[in-house]
Amino acid sequence: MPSQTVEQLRRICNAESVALVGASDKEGSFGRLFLEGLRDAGCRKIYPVNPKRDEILGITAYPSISAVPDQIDLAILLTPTGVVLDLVRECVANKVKGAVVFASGFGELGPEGKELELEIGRVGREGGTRVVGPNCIGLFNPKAGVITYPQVLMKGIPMEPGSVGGFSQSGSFVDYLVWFLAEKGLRFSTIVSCGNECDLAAEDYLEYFGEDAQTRTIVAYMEGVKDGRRFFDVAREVGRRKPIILWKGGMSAQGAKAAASHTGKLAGSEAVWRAMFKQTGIIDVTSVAEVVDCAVAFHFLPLPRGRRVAVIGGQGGTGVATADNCYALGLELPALQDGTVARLREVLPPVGTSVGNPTDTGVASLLDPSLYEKAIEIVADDAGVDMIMVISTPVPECLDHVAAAAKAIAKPLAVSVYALPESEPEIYAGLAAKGVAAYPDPKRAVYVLARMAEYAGFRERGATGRC
Amino acid sequence: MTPEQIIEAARRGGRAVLTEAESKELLRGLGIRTTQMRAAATRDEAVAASHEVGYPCVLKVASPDITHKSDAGGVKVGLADEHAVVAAFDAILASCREQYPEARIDGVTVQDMAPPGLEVIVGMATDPQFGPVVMFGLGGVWVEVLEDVSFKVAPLTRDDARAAVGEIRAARLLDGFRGSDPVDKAALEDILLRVSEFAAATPAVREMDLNPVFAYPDGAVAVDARVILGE
Repeated sequence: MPSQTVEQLRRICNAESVALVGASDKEGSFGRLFLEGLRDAGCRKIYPVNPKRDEILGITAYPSISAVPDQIDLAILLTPTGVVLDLVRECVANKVKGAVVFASGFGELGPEGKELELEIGRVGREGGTRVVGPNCIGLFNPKAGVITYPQVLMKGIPMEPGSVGGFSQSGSFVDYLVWFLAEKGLRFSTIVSCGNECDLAAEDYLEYFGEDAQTRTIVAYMEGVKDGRRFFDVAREVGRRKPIILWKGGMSAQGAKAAASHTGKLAGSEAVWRAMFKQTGIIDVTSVAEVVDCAVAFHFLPLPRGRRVAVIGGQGGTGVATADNCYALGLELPALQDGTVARLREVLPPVGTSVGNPTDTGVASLLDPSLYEKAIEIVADDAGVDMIMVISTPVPECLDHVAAAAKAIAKPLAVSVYALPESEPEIYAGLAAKGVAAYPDPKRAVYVLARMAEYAGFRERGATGRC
Repeated sequence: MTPEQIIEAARRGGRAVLTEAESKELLRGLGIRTTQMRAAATRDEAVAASHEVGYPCVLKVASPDITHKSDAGGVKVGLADEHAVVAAFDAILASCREQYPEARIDGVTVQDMAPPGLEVIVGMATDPQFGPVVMFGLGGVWVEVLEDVSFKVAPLTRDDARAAVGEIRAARLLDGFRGSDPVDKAALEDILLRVSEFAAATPAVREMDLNPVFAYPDGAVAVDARVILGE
């Protein structure tokens, strides 16, 4: 059964009525950008709060939260640091379900700010107004029309809802994440900027995304954890059902500590985080490229049944080097079954091609781009193959056939295209729109397949091998 | 005494580090095999104890103040008879008194000598963020030289224990090499699971080393152990 925190977050992330404290119509002010953002996102009940105004941008304004004649689900506080605590108290008094605190200048500045922040968190948590932040940019839920970001950051971001849920302890990375993933054709359920986590924290958001029926893939950036035990327990449970792609910063920051045993001396922060990743199935990554590459693969592709990959290369032929990449990451390249080989020989011309693993469709595939599609579908029928890695020329007709095959088969397929994204972005945009996991480097495509195989193995063991 | 009573007794004595005898008694309370131990305050008691545990045997200094017993000349192994036990008793006390004149020395412990096995380590530490974590690795001196270990956050599942044992770089050593038999990995997993369960339920314990544990084709025995309590 979902915890109380999950229920509270559900209400916050799907708020139907939002109070914007500090709303304004002054050009270039946050108060105006947020208000426009909410209005344009289709938020149904917006209550601007500003003691000096009766209406803002044509919307009725109120002097205080208490003066709003309606149940408020979410209050967005754009006010200076000093008045946040009083406002959260007012939220509690008015049974507001949640508050997003935008202000910075709390724990990140020193012990005094930390104390204030903890008090805000305590007052909110105990009073039933759960707090997101402070020092954050809040929530983005396109389906519910709950967007607490300045509109300027959101211009041009696709607003159709999707199934990627995300949270980040870095506020600015939230934006980049949304942009980068949107570019790759991914759409979002909810994205949260955690901020200083005075109340709600990464482990709470993770639990929420685990329960949220709309979210299928979870992407996160973290630097620390508030309640490690709870995070471990939640991740262990959620990881068995949904992939969690996590970029964890600050791995090596912790130095040696006083310990009286060998075990204590070796149990550094990094060793323990890595242990935690393995036990929970978390897909840990260490760069923007890996975050995005994995998100694309886990989002678009079915999980493989095992580690056996078939490599199919066209003209250009780096199949052999790609095979090296596969072995280096623990994938296997099985020999194709006799029936598969025979069927491939039937469709591929005898000259300039080679059949096996890797298979090379050769120059012939330039003359007849459908060879890609045929070869992929034949290899996908091979019972000894769990996933397919394609190396393709950037010729549009070839890519069309690869995309068609990727859609037709039930096994995961990653494609590496011989085209640089910076010089031929339209190629990648076209493939993203078709839901194809495409990468400009075979090694990156092999990497995501290896991570998928690893995660699939974790899920498999979880289903059968627990004591 | 139960593990809880052993911990309580050490606390009353103002000690954060349990003696080897206490540590092993605690482990036996968890169902983990250790070498047999008899306390002996005098030369005669040591001889009598050696008859009980059998030959060859091991003598180790018994002192709450000396934790690195080998470095102090406080360990003698492979003692084949009474004469060897007497000589070892005298040598241990002389060496330890010389090197640690301030130390309280209760005598020695007499232990049976476990037949040689593959030396591994099982340990436990408390992470500031995740709480109790359990470690497995190559033991004895190798843990310091190679640091070939793997960690799991407690509590471990059987799958975690299996992974911990299988993840070390030298995992192939456990499967037997150059004609030696494979060791009993299930017995090692059992030790990990028992330490994990105990650590998760006992916040008073901060760190543990079972080092070495001798792993055999059939079973495993903790040959030395150290348990450290927290604040």
